[in-house]
Amino acid sequence: MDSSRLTQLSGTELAKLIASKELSPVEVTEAYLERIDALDSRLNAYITVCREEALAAARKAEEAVVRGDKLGPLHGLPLGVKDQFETRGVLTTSGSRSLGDNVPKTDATVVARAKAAGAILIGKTTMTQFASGLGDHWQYGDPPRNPWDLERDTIGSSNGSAIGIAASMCAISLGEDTGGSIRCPASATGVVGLRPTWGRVSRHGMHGLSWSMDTGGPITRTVEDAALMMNAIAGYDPQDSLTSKLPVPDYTRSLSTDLRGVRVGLLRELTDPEFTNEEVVQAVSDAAKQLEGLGATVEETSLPLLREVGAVAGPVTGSDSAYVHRNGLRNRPEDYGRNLRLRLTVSSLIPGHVLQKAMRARALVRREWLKLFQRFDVLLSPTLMFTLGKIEYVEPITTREQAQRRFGKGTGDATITAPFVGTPAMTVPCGFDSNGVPIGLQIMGSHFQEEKVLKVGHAYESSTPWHSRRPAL
Amino acid sequence: MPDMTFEEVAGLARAAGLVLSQEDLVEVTHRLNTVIADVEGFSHPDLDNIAPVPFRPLEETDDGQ
Repeated sequence: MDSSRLTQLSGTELAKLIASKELSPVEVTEAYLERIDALDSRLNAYITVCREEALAAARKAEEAVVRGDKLGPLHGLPLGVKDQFETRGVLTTSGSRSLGDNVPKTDATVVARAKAAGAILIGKTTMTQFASGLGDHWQYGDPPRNPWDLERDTIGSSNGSAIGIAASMCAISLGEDTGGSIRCPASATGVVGLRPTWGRVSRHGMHGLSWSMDTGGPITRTVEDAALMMNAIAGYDPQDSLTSKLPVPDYTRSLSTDLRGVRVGLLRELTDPEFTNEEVVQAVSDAAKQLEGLGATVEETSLPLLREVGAVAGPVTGSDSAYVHRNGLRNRPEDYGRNLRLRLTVSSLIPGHVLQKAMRARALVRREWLKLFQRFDVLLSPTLMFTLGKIEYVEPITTREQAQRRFGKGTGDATITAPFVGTPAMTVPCGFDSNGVPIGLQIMGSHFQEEKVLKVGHAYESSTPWHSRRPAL
Repeated sequence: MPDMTFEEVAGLARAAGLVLSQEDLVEVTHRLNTVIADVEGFSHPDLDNIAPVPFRPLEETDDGQ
């Protein structure tokens, strides 16, 4: 098969062709490495490319196919891994020069599980420093570029994992999401990104930012690929005491194109044209109609608290991350980019009673959010409430009004609620804005209801053309 | 709670062992006051009656009750 066609296939399609011996893992890995060679100097999706390691693993994978071994679900698939996950013998920087000589001796659990399922580590992907999501400075080369428009932002923090999928520089990828770091870049680049339920996926070996919100998850070309990856990486890990012991279903079994009986809620606060870009509102409204056409019942619903979640989540996740970086901030502040350093500083100074109130607000949001799932199987919103701007330098703030405009209540955040309460959420592409940049549809479920989220996402994806479009590179 | 002054924030930062330039102090003060005001402005009748627990046991099937 022609290598340019090969790299356009989904991970699921590739795995089937490898298992049936129509493609060899070496051929597949070489095709992706060629693609990286051709594009990464422009896109900067990778911090480290594992050329020799990947080819060696591909040769072993090929031998397993020839021997007739039982193959894992990800057998022979080149995997891009966010540089936040430790990888045995491979540099792991978390996007920071301060970790420029960190070569771990072991793999993070999710990496080990993906490898055990047959995935081939092809490289470590670009991310904002320490997964902060603040892309105002990049310590490994130029800013990562959006394959749909090289001048447009990709949001953060799993930038490289999303770009790698969108530009076909890996077959499947791993990202991490604290407040939207899987879903935002996936939406910005027109691919699928799933944030699982908090505790569904192990965080052992993943550099943390916010203990109560961080989770790893897949960024992929299709929803089916996300389900395939979840089958490999989800589940209890004795090395992460916060993982759930609930059994892991076969997520690919939940995929269906029939949505009869599925109750969908469309969140008014996140689709209000006063706060959300009109093109984004239109794309999400069209997606809701599409779901109705597939048999789902769609009803607009409201949770006024949603407008305030960003404001009360900030101190909670900020305090978590300020603790993680307390020693670095005191002793090596020059290691941090300015915006991150100032955010950590602000978070270090938040009064205790403010943090306590934010934590109570969190419990309230959680209670009210979960009530919605008594009426709905999934909730819909845009993933990003705005269309993407250009990559630009963030100017220092000199007035209170500037601080309020950039960080204050009402700035609009559709991705924060799911991590704030620990529930799953996924973005799937649902159109393009007038600049030709992707728009993402966010599908959210209750705790451990990934199957419903995946089912709705798969049905939508199967009935629309957006996921099959590729950027002209 | 009234906005904190530059001097108050500088004192807090010193106490926390953090060094700030004058430009950084200005930005940190404005951002900190924004964060505090937004949380202070949050109100809900149940706020004082709910325990600030971020999660419940993960094996529990959560029904929103």
